[in-house]
Amino acid sequence: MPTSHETCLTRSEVAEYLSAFEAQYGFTSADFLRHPELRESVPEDDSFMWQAYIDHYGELRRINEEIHRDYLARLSRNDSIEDGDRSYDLAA
Amino acid sequence: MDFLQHKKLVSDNRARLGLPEDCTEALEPEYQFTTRYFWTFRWVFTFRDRKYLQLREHYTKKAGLMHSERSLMAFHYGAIVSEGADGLPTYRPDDPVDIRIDNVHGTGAHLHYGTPQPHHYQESVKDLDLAGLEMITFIKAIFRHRKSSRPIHDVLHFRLRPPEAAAPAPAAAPEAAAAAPEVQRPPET
Repeated sequence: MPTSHETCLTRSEVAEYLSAFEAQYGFTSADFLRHPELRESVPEDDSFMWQAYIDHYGELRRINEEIHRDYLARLSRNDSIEDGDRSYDLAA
Repeated sequence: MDFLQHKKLVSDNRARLGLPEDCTEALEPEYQFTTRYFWTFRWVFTFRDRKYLQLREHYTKKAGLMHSERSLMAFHYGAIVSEGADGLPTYRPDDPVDIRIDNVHGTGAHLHYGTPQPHHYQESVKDLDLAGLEMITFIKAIFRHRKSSRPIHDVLHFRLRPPEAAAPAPAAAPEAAAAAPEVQRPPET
């Protein structure tokens, strides 16, 4: 049975990869995206992986924000329920 | 396409591929993924005559869509000049190349053919859709080229327009610049 290798990237791993590229080439990931002339100074295979990790980082941040939004929404729903319970107690 | 569909496609193609006798799978299909919509793929073959074939793909999903698209590709075949710490071939821009098709640097898909320069953009390549080229088509073409000694442009059925007809490199994709603020990373704790 042929095998393949799979790695589920974490946010800290991706951040480390990005930091390594930033240290190696001397400019930030934001500059990598903003300035084509800087991007073109990076060998193509490194440029490929740098862009890929930027995308992965963005996706992980999006998920993180989504989870946080859900958490806050649930928290506010729970607060409403507790307030409702308290009103019931007072009425009694 | 999503991550699971891509894995199945690669697995099916791989099972049917049949490696040439002088070819080794130096890196089995390798995936780095974050979700089923964001993954990065790499696959490397080496040959006894010190050449290698490397396939890289990166898939992303645009907001609102329910499927991923290949946003980066780099298909490479050429001589092994140097190797990284992992023992796999590495590529520098001035290394000799038999053929390379990539869309790295945000300037659109282009072809390197026979020499690292120039970059041949789609406007100067006839009968081959560079951006849409399937990985398996590229692999089979290289295997056929090696077996038959037919030129790669012959097995991939493309022609290059004369240099004077070639268009200048397009400007970098504007979405790259627009996305720049997205990578202002907070310090990791």
